[in-house]
Amino acid sequence: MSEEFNLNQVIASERELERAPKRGMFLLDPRLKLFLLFLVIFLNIGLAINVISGILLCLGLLTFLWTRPPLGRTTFFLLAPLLTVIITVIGFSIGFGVTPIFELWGVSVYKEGLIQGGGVALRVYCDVTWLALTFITTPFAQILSALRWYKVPDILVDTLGIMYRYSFLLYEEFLRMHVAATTRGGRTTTWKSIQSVSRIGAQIFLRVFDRSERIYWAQFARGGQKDA
Amino acid sequence: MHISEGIITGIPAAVFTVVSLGLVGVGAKEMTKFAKEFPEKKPLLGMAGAFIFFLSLIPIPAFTGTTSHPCGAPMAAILLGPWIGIALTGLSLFLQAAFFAHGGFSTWGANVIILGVGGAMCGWAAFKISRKVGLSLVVSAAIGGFIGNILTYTFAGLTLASVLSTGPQPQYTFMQYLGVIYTAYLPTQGPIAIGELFMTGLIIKYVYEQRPEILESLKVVTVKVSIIFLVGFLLFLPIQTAVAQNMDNTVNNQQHQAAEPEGEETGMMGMDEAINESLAEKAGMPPRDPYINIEALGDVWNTIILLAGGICGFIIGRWWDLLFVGNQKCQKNSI
Repeated sequence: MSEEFNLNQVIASERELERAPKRGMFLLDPRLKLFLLFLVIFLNIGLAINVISGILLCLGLLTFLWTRPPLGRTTFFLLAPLLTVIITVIGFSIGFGVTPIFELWGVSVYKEGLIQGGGVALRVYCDVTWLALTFITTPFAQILSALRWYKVPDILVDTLGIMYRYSFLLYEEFLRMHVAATTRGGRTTTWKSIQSVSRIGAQIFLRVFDRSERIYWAQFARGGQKDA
Repeated sequence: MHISEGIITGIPAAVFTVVSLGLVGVGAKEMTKFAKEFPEKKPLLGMAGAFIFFLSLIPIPAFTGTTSHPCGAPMAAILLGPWIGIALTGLSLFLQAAFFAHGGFSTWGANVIILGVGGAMCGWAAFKISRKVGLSLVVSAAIGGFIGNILTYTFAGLTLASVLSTGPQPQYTFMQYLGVIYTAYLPTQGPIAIGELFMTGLIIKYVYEQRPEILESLKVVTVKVSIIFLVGFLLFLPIQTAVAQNMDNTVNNQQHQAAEPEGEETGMMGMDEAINESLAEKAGMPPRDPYINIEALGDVWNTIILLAGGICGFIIGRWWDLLFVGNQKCQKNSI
């Protein structure tokens, strides 16, 4: 998990995004990308017809080839739901249907369940492909601007921005404190581990509290409105 | 807990999404109110959201299309209120779906209801009820964390079982699916729920120990009861002093009267002397001094009366708070 949340990797990824040649989805306006994404989700999930999901997935993959987004984040996006999808397909195959295909260790695998599980996998990857196309090719600040344009309340957009910015910072602080606690014997027993993690959690919360006030006053000192 | 993309489709997905948008809308209103009341704490909302974001991003796969992990939502709700907790949950789930492919946009609505209502709202309610019945801050927070976590997974199981049992050609009934899902959750979620119990309680404890004013400013606890106690004590002190002086005067008068020669007017006698002792003498049991005669010890007697008064005042103040202040939904108790 630590590798996924590495701030430096995120910054590198954002820089890579800025340097990327502008083609495919990179050329589209973020507002249009969000509209396309929600249209795809509506068609894919709302209608839940495997053929439509298949066509949308193919379109997404072709757009992928045209856009050629950064490989690292794309791979992560495509691999992230894989384990859940496999478990879902297995669960559906043995949990639904009336026509057994084969039996494994006394458990029957049904044809209908397999088709249904396959449908779920198709829908998941259709959505994930378009999610990746939208969010990998768009800097976060532009996504926030697009959300504002769609009249999402300011308080939610602002909070989302702070969440994105400080998530990585807080996690790095957590990791530093966690390493320090571990080297001081803070994880020798289960109870000590719980205590250490709780202490770190409390410290992070206290830092969050103080930092939030500092951020506010820094913004205010630079001309930010008091109630904004 | 996250129900993954593609599991819920069609009208149920739309209904979940609309209901969740309503809940997050109410949460957004509460957030705006919070930001207006405490403008300097506005960034805290984002940071609390970041906290939920991390905790609920540690997936442990379970049965068909769902995962286990700590919630974090109960603690956010305890600190910032249930509606803000729900709104932050919604934002956290949005970020997870957009940047980590965890959960999804089509199941965002269902996940908001599960984590927001089950985790944040129910966890907060458990915390508040525990405080009302007089449990300490730490124990109440621990109960809130535990109940929030358990109910999150209860809601997730119910949602998933209802979706699966109404799917085409289900192999099992609703209850059987529910049983299978809960059985799948138990080995991963049981220890995590216990962990969340301890962690929520301990985090609140450590924060309170180090910076109680933070919890007071967030209205998790207040000094109201402490103030009532202090005011009561300050009011009680002069009364006690007056009573003590009065008693001193009485004792002095009695001593003065006792020193006066017999046959002269002795003034008013106490009930013990006038009735009880005379009745005892008539019955053939003359009065004697007690084994520990504290009346004769002077100031010790006064001190004991003062202490008894203080203890009674504390008990009355405590019960007054439990019976009346609590019922008025002040939600302001001390540890």
